[in-house]
Amino acid sequence: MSNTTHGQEIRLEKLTKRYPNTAKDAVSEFDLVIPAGECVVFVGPSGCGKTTTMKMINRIIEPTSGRIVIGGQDVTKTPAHELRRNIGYVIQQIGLFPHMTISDNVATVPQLLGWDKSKTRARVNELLDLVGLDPSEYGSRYPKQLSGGQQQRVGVARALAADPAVLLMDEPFGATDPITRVRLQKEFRALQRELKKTVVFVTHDFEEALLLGDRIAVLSDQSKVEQYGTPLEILSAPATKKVESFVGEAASVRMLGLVSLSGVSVASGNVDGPTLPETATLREAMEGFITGAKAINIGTKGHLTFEALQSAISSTRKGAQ
Amino acid sequence: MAKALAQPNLTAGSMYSQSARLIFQRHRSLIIQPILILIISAGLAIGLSRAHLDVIEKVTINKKFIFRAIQDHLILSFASAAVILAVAIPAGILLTRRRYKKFTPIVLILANIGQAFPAVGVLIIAGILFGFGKPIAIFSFAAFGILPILRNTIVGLQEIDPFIIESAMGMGMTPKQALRQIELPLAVPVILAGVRTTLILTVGVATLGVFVNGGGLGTLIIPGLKLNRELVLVTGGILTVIVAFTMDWLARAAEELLRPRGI
Amino acid sequence: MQVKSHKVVAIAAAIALAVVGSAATSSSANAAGTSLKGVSVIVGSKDFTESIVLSKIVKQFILANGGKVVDKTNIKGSSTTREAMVSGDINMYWEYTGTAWLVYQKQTDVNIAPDVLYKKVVAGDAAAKVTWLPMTSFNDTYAWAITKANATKYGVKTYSDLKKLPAGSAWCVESEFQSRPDGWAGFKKAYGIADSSITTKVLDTGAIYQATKDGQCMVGEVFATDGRIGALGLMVPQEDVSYFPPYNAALTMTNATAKKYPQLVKALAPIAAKISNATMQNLNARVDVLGEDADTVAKSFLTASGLVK
Repeated sequence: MSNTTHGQEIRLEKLTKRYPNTAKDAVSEFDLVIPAGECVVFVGPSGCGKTTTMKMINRIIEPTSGRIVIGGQDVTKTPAHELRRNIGYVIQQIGLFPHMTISDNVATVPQLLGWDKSKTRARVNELLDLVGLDPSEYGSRYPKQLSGGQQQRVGVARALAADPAVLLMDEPFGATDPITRVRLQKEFRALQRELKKTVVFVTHDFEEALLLGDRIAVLSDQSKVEQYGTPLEILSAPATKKVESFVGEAASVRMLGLVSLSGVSVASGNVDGPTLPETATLREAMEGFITGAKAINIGTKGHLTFEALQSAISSTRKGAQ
Repeated sequence: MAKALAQPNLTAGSMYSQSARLIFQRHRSLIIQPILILIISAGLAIGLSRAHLDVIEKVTINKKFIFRAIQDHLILSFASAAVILAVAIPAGILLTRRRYKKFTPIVLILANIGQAFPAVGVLIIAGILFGFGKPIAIFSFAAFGILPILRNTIVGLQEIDPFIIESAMGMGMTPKQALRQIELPLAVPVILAGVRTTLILTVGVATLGVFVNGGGLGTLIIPGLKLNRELVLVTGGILTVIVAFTMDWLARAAEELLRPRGI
Repeated sequence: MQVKSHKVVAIAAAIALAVVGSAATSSSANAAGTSLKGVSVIVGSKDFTESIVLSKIVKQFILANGGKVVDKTNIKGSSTTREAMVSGDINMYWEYTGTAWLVYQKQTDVNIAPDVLYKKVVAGDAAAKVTWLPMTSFNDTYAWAITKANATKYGVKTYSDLKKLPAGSAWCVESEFQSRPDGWAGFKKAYGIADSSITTKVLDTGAIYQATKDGQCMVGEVFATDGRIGALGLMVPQEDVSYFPPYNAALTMTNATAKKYPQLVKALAPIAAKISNATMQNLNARVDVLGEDADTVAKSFLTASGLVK
């Protein structure tokens, strides 16, 4: 793939939004640093202001007060359209332009930036390929001829077209069926690993946050940050009651997928039973135990007992505290 | 993203054949209509050339008079439609912008009044004040016919999915770019429907040109009516209908040509 | 005998009272009094002032004499009004000899004297089963009007003098006038006026009066008895070359109505003769220029002319 722009750091300082004639702020003094190249997920119940906060970053919603600094540059007052041409934007409702072909849709921002035609065409084809749509087949079609999932992919391709350093995504996979959604999530995760853009991802689905986020910001009313940390930190050490209730039950079970076997203490020697590589997670090991294994071999290092797995979990917990 | 498994294109095939059928249906009426118009015109021409005309009828039923009347009628209709378009579409666009939205009720009331006025009375007053002739006729007819296009422009723009517009702004379009590249193209079908309505309306109203030295097919209808000469009256009426049908056909053809694909 | 003389006085007083009483009631009633009691008719008219006023005169006359009238005046279009009478929607309305001749009887010869035309029209309408009452002396014919100022300026006293007006002067006509055999083309021919020397404008009849006064028309096609001519300072030159056919007005009704109410036909007959050109212009002006109500104008005419005491 051609040279990609890697992500830039985003600093949000005391971002506030107060709508006229309302009793309180929709978003109140939101402070957050989103590290460059990371995917940060804003997660929280409906109405907590997570989408409003995200939309203030590219000023689709103008902040009432506060500062936005991207890549060290204060962009709070730069002309909005200039700012947005360097930020990819994917919304839940997709919003493809129905009167334009798929290719033209994807080419929107390069066109606004004045790229020459051949460069644009090459880039559009590259991106359609990237999201799994054959350009020769889909390029000249119109949005209404595509399924919901296909339209989502075009939306992502369109957002990436001008190779922005920052990507804003508001429940981008929400409008698809569960099967397609899982597929899209996995594909996005793989893509993000490769592209390393700075992504702000909004969702109300905690599982999606766990899957996609390098960091998760759990938000409550007025976008108050209840906790900001890695998925493992949030699961193993929820900071407040609100986070706890949001995380829900069976935190330990869900943590299993986030801890790899490489750091776990193993007994020496191999035994009868299944083998897993070091890169596998505790979850695969648990799968083995549930289905009848007495011990799991970890590569050639040795074998893992059930008790060892239990203590691995509790030490992860303690470590996070 | 790894190349996803090819999605089964459940809808593409059926969609294509459905569009093809729709296109044929649409085009069928576009072809039939002008043929009908030609048949009726030919029938009228033959009937008139064969008719035995008395002195009164000969004044209006002759090639020179009729062609002049049709020509004037077309001038009146097209010119008023042009004035209406020049005023109503920009007005409609302005009224859907956030800053001017609040003026919408007042403007719509004014446009409605234009339709409610007794047309002949207003026409004559305007003629006395500003001078009789085609110009005042054209402006008066424009006032009468402004409502459909104004309303359709507003509605056409308002009913665009707001998330499409949000997307456009999110991509980094300026408001003007979004208007030109996204909003107007999407509103075109509704606006054009309004244009078609207006054109038919102005063809009807243009028959009043006879009262203010504007010419038009009223110069057959009114004498035919007052002098009890049915042939003249009916000829004027049929010609007006033919002109209206022709306008309708032209507007429909324009709608077909200008409708953006994909909607 | 005291009692007898009281009786005589009482009877005499009663008779006197009766005489005075009947005289009093008959003076508050009208000349013919209750001569039209039992008459019930529908009176229509065309949609211009003169036609309406004439019909209101008939209506008020019938009412003053004890008859019943349904008022359906102000019907749009000559032909429509005529149709209404023939089909029975109305029983009577005022028509013009020239109009009946040209429009209903589809004749084209226009060089006929007023009373001769009247006789021909009456004869021609026998087949349509229409009765014509006597005609008026006024002739509401087509006429040309010009402002008094322009008449003086260009020395216009006759229709032929109109040729003295500057080249390209605007002559305003109404669309019906253009099509009539007694209309525009014929007039230009009769007076030798070339199209190239003038400008023709086609306007609504009503608009022509104001437009002539304002100057948008140099010469305007008007009706001879219209009140606006005098009111707007216009004058009508003399028709030196006889061209326009006569347009005397007469009340028309279906033969059926005439047969049903012969007393009505007799009572209405004298009305037409009492309306001269000047009278009609005056009545028209009161409605068109002064804005008076047509019924009021009709009543005052009936009183002033003595038709109704």
